[in-house]
Amino acid sequence: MIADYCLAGLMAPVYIGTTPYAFFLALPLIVVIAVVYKATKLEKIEFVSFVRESFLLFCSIVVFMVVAAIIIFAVMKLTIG
Amino acid sequence: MTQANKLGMPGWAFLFLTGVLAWWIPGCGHWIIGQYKRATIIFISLTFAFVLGIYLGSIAVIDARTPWYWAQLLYSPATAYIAHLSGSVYHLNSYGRPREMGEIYTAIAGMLNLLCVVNAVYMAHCNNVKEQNQ
Repeated sequence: MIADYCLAGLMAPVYIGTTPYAFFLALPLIVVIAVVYKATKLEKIEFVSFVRESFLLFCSIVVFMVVAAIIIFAVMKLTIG
Repeated sequence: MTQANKLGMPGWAFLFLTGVLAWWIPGCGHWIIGQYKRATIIFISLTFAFVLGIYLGSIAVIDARTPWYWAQLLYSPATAYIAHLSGSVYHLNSYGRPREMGEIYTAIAGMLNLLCVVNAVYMAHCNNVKEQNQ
């Protein structure tokens, strides 16, 4: 009964269009990955240093993904056209 | 005094308890060894990712017939109950991009929890070794 109540809002998928904006859905996941990774790796958890380290990792992942996307796009254009 | 000694348990049993608790409730392994900030961050982050995943794709993304399920199961044993509800009770299904996004979110939450389980057990082990050396 309690489970039914909790799951009521999670019974149907949301609409996600096939648009470039759908890529923004990756951002919350990258935030979680950066935060959890830094939570396990940092010696001491202090607010400022933790936020700074997590933000740097988040930016690194995003930049790497953008560079990878550009390289894949360039290779695709060169090979397939 | 280490957490293991406070609970009156042998070292290996405390490591096992830490691992099991870290799997059952994300962050609980760090909580039991006294790492409260880490535990809170881990619990909130992983629960956010997992709930966002099932919000995007519905609970149908927890499907015991797919390989993703084994990664999702690492989040918590409660995942098995959600799989039972979506598959056997409500007979739900979802397709396309919402399902993909939901599977990715929930599976990565599970795999990150595995990282946290290993980290919690390692930290508990280091505490035990430090205590023995003193």
